Amino acid sequence: MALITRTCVLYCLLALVCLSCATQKIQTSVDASFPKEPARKGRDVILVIMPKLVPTLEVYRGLSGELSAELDVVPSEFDPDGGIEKLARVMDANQPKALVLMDNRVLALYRQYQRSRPAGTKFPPAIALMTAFLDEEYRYVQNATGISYEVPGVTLFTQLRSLVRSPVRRIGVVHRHSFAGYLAKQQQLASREDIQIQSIAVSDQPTADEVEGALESLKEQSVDALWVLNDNVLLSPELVGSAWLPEMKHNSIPVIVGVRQLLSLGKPFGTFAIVPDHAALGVQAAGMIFDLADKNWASDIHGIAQPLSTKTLANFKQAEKLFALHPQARQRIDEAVE
Amino acid sequence: MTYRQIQHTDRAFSRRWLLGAAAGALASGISWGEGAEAAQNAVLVVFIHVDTKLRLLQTALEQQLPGTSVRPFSRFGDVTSAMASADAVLAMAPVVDFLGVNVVMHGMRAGSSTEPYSLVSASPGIRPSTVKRVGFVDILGRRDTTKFVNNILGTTAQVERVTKLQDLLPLLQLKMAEAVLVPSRLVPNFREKTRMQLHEVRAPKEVSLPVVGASTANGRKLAEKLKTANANLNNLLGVQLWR
Repeated sequence: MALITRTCVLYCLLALVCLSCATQKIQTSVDASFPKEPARKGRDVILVIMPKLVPTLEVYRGLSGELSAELDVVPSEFDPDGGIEKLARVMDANQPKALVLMDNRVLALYRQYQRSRPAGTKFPPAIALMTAFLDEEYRYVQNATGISYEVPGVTLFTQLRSLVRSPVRRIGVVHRHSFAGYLAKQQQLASREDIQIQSIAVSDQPTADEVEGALESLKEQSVDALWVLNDNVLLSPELVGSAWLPEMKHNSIPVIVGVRQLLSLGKPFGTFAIVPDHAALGVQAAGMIFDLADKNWASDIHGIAQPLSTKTLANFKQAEKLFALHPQARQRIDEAVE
Repeated sequence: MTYRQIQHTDRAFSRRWLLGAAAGALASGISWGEGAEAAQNAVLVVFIHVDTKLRLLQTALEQQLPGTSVRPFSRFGDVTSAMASADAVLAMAPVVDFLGVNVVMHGMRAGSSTEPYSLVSASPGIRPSTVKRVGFVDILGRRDTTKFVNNILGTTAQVERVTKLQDLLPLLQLKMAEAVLVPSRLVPNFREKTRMQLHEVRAPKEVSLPVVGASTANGRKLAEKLKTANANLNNLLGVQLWR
């Protein structure tokens, strides 16, 4: 049951990411063609399996820009109907030294592929990117590592501090019970910046009343800002409509979200969105591949990295109504969303 | 063929293309007056890591150099490919040298064309000669950036490269590097952004300030215009004047 719930949540999160992608695709559709395989130069092959989405293409651009002078980077478009047979053919044809897997669906397919191989099969190192809550998922894949898609809270809070005049010391967050471990890690990191996370847990299938009650409680605790996790169960259309939006009507503190769409719902919700810089994510992944190459593709990889580079988006119209901004706030963001 | 050879081949191609284009222009009777207009449409590639968003640097440069197409980049890989169509490049001296472009102007600060760098860490006792993992903004690609950093520090550390100056703080917050290497003048800005107790040690060697490299006559004209840059723009670039 827990596995079903987790899988369900991950697909919901993916839908949220895809929602974000879909919008960006409209804006930059010219660039949205899938990259052609460059001429091979007989070097070690890095196989990149990914769906054709604007963010994944951005990641690929950063990745191949770094790697292509030294390695043969081979893009392969994820085929949801292809199954493990197609993946096996792609693997056999390319004999990659390492893999880059983008998106939860690709990681899940690769996991199935691994299970279908005979016992004792050695798999090349795999780097998973653009995967929601990767710190759980990568454990089910042999010889895998990656970079989390979620921007660490400490990065978000430090950015926020540079955008608002008021102090940022206590951050409120509503989360489902199953995210308690994730929140504990975030608290550990945030404490390096003297920031305390006030978290309120709701059940794994929360009702609107539960979410509303948690938000009310955070308001009573006078937190300095609210952090909205990219959890699509908590952000289901039903809960957004019946719990979040009614509460946000009376909000007067900064609200940090993880997707652009929550800045522009037409009703008060997010004030700042801090999202991964996709091309920089590709560059960061390239660094991991170079590290593997330096170790002759040795497979003693463990743990996952955090995304280092972010983009900050702001809804200033909303923010200026609610609280005082830092005089240089407009210069410190990447994009204003009105 | 090495990466550098590829770049030189690209440049050679660009030069051949430009010569061909010039010959074509003469043959088709385009006047010198139109050529002069084209000089205004020079392309400046900018690869300087500043403590602000690149679009602000771009705006400041466009105001200083009206008519110039200012193309800022934060990734080294993008710079090398953008150079084929550039008249000039504004970058640190080792980058311009790597690109094989002639330096026509040096940024100066306190009478010097170099400036001190500092190793900044969240733990005490980190020294340039003993640091094992250091963060730095990628200016030359993987191998050459690592060599560059280790030359400044006099060590053989592992270098964690980032694409923006702003990404160095997360390296310390997330303990992905023991220390980061930054221009000493930017350490106060760094401290302003964090509540972590930061420790600073000067690197043994200084690093070049930005320079302008020009690959065409238009590029040299553009560099001349930059000599009269206002204090705000110079400050953004970390220089006081150009020579």
